[in-house]
Formats: sequence, C-alpha cells, structure tokens
Amino acid sequence: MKKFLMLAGLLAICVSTSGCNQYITTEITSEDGDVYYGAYNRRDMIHADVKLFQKGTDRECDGVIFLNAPSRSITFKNDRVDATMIVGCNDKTIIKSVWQLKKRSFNDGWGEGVDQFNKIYQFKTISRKEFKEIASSQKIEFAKENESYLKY
Amino acid sequence: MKRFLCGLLLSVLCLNSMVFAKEIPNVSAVMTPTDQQEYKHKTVRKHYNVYDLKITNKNAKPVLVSSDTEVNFITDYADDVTSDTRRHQYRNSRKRDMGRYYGIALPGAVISGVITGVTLFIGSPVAAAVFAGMYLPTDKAVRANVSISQDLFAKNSLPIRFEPNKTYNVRILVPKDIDITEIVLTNISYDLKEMYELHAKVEEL
Repeated sequence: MKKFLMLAGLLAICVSTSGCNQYITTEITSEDGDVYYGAYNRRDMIHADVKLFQKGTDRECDGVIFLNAPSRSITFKNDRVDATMIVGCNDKTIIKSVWQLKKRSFNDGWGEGVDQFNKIYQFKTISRKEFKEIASSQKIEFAKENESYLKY
Repeated sequence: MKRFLCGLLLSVLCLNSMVFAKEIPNVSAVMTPTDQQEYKHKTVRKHYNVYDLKITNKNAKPVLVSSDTEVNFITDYADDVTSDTRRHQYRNSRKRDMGRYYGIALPGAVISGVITGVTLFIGSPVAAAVFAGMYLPTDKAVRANVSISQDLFAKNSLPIRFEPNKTYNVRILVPKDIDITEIVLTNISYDLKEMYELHAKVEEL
C-alpha cells in the first residue's frame, strides 16, 4: 500500500510538471484565415521561451518573451503588465508583439503583434484542452540556445 | 583564353554574390559610445561596453530586418565577433538575483533578536542590524534588476522595420574584452529576398 501511494505521488508530480506553462493561439483575423498555435515555457522571473506554429503549413517560429515590470511585491501581483514577445520564423519573418500578462503567474492574457510587412496577429492564451483541439502534434520542443530561428 | 576569361568573370560574379553581400544604399548608421552619465548600470557595464547605434533610412521604401539578421563586430586585430543573443545579454546583465533571500531577512532578524535579547539584553539593536544588513541589499538588487530589464525593453531591441525618413536609436551591448571599429548588421533587405548588409563605423566622442 505504501509503495503504491509513493508511486501514485511520484506519478502525480511527473504529470503536473510536464507540459508547458501556457498554451497560446491567434484569433482568426480578417486578413487571412491562418491560425497560429504554440506555447511558452517560463525560464525565470522575467523571461520565457516561445514556440509558434502555423496550422497546416511548415512555418514555425521561436523566440522569447520578456516581462516588462517584474515584481516581487506581495500586492498587485494579479495586475497585468506589458510583455514583449519577439519570434523569428523559418521564412525569415519576425513577429514582434506586445502582451498583457499577469505579473505573478506570467500567463492568462492577450497580445497583439506585427511582422515586417505590418500584418497584424492577435494572440490569446488558451487552456491545454483547447490546445489539443488545435494542435496537430501534442509535444512541443523548444529551441536550444544556438539553434533558434531568431539569430539576434 | 575566352573560356578562361568567362570562367573567371563568372566565378568572380558568383563569389561576389555569395561571399560579399552588398551594402544597403541610402541608409546611414553611426555608432557612438554611451557615456557613463547616461547609462549607469554597473552590472551591465561589468560585462559589456555600451554603444548607441543611430540608423536613418533615407530610402523611399522601408528596410526590413529578417530573422537571420546578426550583429557582427569587426575588430582590428582579430576575427569578426558575433554579438551575444538577446537571451544571453539578458542573463549577463542582471545583478545576482537576491530576491529569493527576501524571506530570510525578517525571520532572521526576529530569531537573532530574540536569542541575543534573552541572553545579552541587546536584542533590538542586533535585530535592526540583521534586518538592515539583509533586507536593504536584497531590495536594492531587486530594484536594480527591474530598472535594467525595463531599460533593455525600451532601448535594446532592434526594430523589425525601418520606416523611410525616420531615425532609430538602438542600444548595442558589446562584450567588454573586444575593441571594435565597426559593426555590421547582416541580412537586411527590402523584400526579404535579396539580402544586404549595413555597416556602421564607431565614432569616438
């Protein structure tokens, strides 16, 4: 019984720590019907790694999100602050967007971005369940330090 | 002879387009060191020399930065050096993250205050000293980190698109150990197809 409980506990820890912090998608904008989906994984107080895919194509992007006003104060932790997301894609475009994210949890927000051709992308955060409905593959691998599409 | 000449010309052309990227016309760029007064963060200055890059696009059409764009530093004595990535710069430019020790300050002060207070009757001055010694530096480090990261946000990122007849100021962090004469932005273009380079000479103040 004890062993079983320990195993169950370990399994619960594994399940809860696997997966990404936050899954994101774009709302379908009027310009084109493209849908983008992806996720980000928080690395420290301020920055997170992002991966983004365009549904139905080979286009994929990766980059970083920086939180603008990191805070350790006990109050106002649920306030939303600006976060900048910069992702580079494998077709050489860069999408630069501004998010509104919760200070403490680094999630639960929305954002708007543009690429070099001034095409507008509307992002929002979604739950894992919604992500599973959109995404073609469930597993997301984040780029390593020197293999990112975003060179600078 | 003709064949040889043709071959030579062709190879020169090919090499030219392969190795030496053309410089983008009508874009001026100047790089100047930022003075100590303007940029004070010691933590960043410990690892990097700070420069201001001023880019003006005088073309009628916008100039686009691509995801392949790299910032290269040209030195007199060594090979070209590629700039650190944003992620790396960001990590290096932070003071040691002391926020995690916030929680020790207050209980530490209370415990030490109580113990010395009970035994030696000097509890409150010791507690005050412990609090000042732990809380204040932690607080300072956290505040410094916040202002550094806000500064990185505001000034440090390269715009993805240079609009015509507009000037952009970008802060460039150059590793401390190299002495640069010129900076090169690679893979910039008008349409993301034909790629150019942008050179900026460093001017001393």
